Amino acid sequence: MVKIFIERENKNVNTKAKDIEELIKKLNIIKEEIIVVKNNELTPRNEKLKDSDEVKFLSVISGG
Amino acid sequence: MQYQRVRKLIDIETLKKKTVTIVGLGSLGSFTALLLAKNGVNLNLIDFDKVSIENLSSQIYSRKEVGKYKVKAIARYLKRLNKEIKINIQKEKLNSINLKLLDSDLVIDCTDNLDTRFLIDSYCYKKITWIHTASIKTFGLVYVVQNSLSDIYSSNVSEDLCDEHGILNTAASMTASIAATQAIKILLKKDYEKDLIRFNIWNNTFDKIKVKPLKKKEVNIIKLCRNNYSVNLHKQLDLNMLSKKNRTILKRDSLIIIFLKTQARKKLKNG
Repeated sequence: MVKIFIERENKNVNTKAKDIEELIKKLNIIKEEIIVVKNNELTPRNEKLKDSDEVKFLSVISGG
Repeated sequence: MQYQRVRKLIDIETLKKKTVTIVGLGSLGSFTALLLAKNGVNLNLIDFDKVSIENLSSQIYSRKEVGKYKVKAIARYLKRLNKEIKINIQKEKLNSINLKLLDSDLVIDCTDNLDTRFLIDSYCYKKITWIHTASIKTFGLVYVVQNSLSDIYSSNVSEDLCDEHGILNTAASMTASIAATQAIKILLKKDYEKDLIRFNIWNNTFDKIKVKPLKKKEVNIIKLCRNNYSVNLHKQLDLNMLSKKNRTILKRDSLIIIFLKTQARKKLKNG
């Protein structure tokens, strides 16, 4: 299982997925609104996943 | 005497010889400018905007400054705090033809939109060290750009605005404190944080995120898409304000960018 945190909803989820793209579809996440962090590293959408991974979907911060 | 306490920690004489450009004098920019001015850093301040009543809760301006240009209001305030520093003000919106305004020892992006940030990125890339900052609601972000902004954001990312979602002044001032500390370290050639710093002051979460550089090809595509968008935006907004010569340059550059973008997409498609 991959451990997931969705910041916008302040929600933790555990689920299986082969890559980030699959997770985005599965969890109905709007990909234009997030940056993806896997194990504390900014990650491309095609990145493969393994069971022990921790993924965070963080909101884009843009204001100033 | 004014630096007596801070001198114990940092080399003020070196800072006095440095100039930092701050783009955007809203919540982040006004606090960052204040902190750097207090430490003796000379400032080059860029913002086209005027102080509005909605700015007062999260920016350092006062009610009597409403309606005045932010760069003028802040320059006056900072001069009262520290007479020794030099302050240069630019009452302009940064665009693809005035990027030379950024020339200085370090640039701090305190803007509120990704298009201006990508303009800064295109000019500073491998030339001037720059710090990307952002803040909204109770969140803050600071990143000394190691390669390119394209390592973080894709070309089609959507943005939340402070007008719509608000900004807590404690989040803005904390972001500014981290950015100003990073700036001082860079100016003094000290070791600084290279990861992206991101926090939520409301629930005390603080993350350091590693950023991997993208392949050069991907960086170019994102920059071309962004630049093309910015040029189109200038066409709509600024064209009538430009001189005839600059209008011709802008139209020519716009056509070149559209051509390059098409070529780059073809290349990417063909591997």
